[in-house]
Amino acid sequence: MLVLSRQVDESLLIGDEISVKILEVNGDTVKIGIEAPKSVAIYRKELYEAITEENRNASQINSQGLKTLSATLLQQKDSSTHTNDE
Amino acid sequence: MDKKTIDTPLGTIEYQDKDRIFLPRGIPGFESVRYAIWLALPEYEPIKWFILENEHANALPLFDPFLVLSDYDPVITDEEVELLEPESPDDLAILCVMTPRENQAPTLNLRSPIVVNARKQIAVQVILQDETLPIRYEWDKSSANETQEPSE
Repeated sequence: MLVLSRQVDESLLIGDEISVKILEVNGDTVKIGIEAPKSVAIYRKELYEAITEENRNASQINSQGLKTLSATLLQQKDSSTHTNDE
Repeated sequence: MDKKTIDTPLGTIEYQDKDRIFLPRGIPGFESVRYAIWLALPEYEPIKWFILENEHANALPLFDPFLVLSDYDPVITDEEVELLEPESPDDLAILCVMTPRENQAPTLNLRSPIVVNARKQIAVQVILQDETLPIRYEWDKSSANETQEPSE
């Protein structure tokens, strides 16, 4: 891993299109400003990893369990359409 | 119509070319997958499916979030809209990944819906900026409060 020291208001460039600027340092928290082309998606890493994990979990199929679930959902949907205007 | 089949964890499934959806960004966790087959299977309604075109043919259960949350209002970025090439907002369908859980109600990922342009057969799983939206929304609990009466 490349490690660089920067001070507040200093930047670094990743390629020639992405710039990362240190805006503020407050205790353990660093505020970072990022300029990048729209085509580059920027996420907090832990968020992306959580979604990755969720997708992987969702694809661990127990088809029998899902059929049961599907039946329950259909029942709920029916009962909700019937009780819409209380 | 030219029917094709694919072996999936749900069994062998028939599909047509129009069911095949391009994933320009892949899907988090399955980044290299570029196509999914978008299906509804009668025995699993109202759950829909993305069958990923990878060696396992992973099946991702999807659910229409508006069936449980009528005020769900995901805001997607201009860049994501560009990837999806809609001619009008009506071209876009929104589905949330549903995670079945053992001995628990399933959850819906509201933070990261899959937006599909069915006409152009393109889909992107977006990650919304709205930090209040949960990745594991326990809709069964809330829908039970709203719709289920103690019966039997």
